Amino acid sequence: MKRAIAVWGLLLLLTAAGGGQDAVLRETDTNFSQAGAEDHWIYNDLARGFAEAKASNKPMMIVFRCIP
Amino acid sequence: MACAQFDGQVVRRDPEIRELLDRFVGVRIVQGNGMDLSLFQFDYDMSFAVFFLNADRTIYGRYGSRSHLPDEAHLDISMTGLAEAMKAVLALHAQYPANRDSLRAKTGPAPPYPVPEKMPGLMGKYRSELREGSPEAISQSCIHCHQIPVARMASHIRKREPMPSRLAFPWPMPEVIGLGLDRSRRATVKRVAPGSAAAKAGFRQGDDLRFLQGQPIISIADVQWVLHRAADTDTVAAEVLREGEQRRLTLTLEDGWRTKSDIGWRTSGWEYRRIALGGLRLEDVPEAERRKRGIADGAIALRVDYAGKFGKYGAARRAGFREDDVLISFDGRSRGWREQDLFFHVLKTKKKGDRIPVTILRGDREMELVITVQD
Repeated sequence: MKRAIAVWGLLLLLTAAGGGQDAVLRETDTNFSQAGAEDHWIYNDLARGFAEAKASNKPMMIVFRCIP
Repeated sequence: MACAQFDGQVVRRDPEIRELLDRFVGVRIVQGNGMDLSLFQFDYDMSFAVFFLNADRTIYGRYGSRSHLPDEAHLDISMTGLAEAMKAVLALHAQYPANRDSLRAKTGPAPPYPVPEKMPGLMGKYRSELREGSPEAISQSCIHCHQIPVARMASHIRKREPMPSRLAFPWPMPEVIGLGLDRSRRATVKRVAPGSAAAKAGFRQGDDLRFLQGQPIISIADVQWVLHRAADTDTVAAEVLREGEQRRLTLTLEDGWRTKSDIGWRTSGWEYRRIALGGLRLEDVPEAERRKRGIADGAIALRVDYAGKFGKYGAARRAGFREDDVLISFDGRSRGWREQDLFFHVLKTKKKGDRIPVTILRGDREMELVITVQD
């Protein structure tokens, strides 16, 4: 039981760390952070884009944008 | 409007593309790290580019072209042109997979390295993921797209291999073959340069370019892709719609066609300057000044606009070059070369450590200096 709690705790920590990095990245990408466009773009996650395109049978529009 | 502004309009879902975007899965990628180079082959010197794909990785087309410095980068793109490209992609998607064969060649051959971080010069410095932490940490760990061609060029120089012209003059704009295309359409001919390859092939103003080498064309970037893949001498089959009728034309690309590309705007251009010119930036001496200084028609006259100061970018300055010097001879040749012709000459014929004799005018005085090829 203690072991399971420890694993869950670690996962939560990792998720929080990942989310933090993602938040900093989005903040650095000022065009994106100022646009309020979270609901309309899959952000920096190509695998999710492919999965969603397959499920929805929509074509993908992938924008490559260098941030400073 | 620079690329950044255009990107802002796209990400904010400009009204011109909003309804179209709802019919796509929109993905925004902001790192070169981990990029599948066998799939994502585009003009890496651009800071904004669009790929249209099927979920099975078939490429429908590309959008995004550039032939100017940053403050004029918008001259090759437009929101209307992007909307037209998106409509064309939706039409291709509706016909898929019946049209799969015609789309095959939109994917390029496998490159020598599968991802940027495995390339010499980048390997060991970058990982497949961005570093966590501050914006600075993220920025420093990010592979910028322009580093990809630079790494390839540096690899050739290091191996002492001649630079392929496709690498030195990548992604030729259609103007190189005399074809001016309307940036607010997919690929409609706006002008044809007299005497050019396009004129000889029979292109006319108003032609809608529908296919090149059998590939459906959705944008100027798609035309660039076909030209990018063409050989140094080649023929390219074109199909245009002219006044409602389909016509077949054949473009003939003659030796040296690619080297007419203007590469001065490219971020990677500074790497050429470091390797071939020791960090000099050169500009053509204007006609009036050429006459005043008695420089003959067709003779080389390239003014040092800027001489780098640090590290390898300062090599020419340390060799004695200064701003406002005028190069009148380079490696024994004194006629007909622009700055980019010097790049190509060096990349094609020289190796690291080779010494190139250069004659300059400083005021009225003629001087002999030497540039050493670097990696």
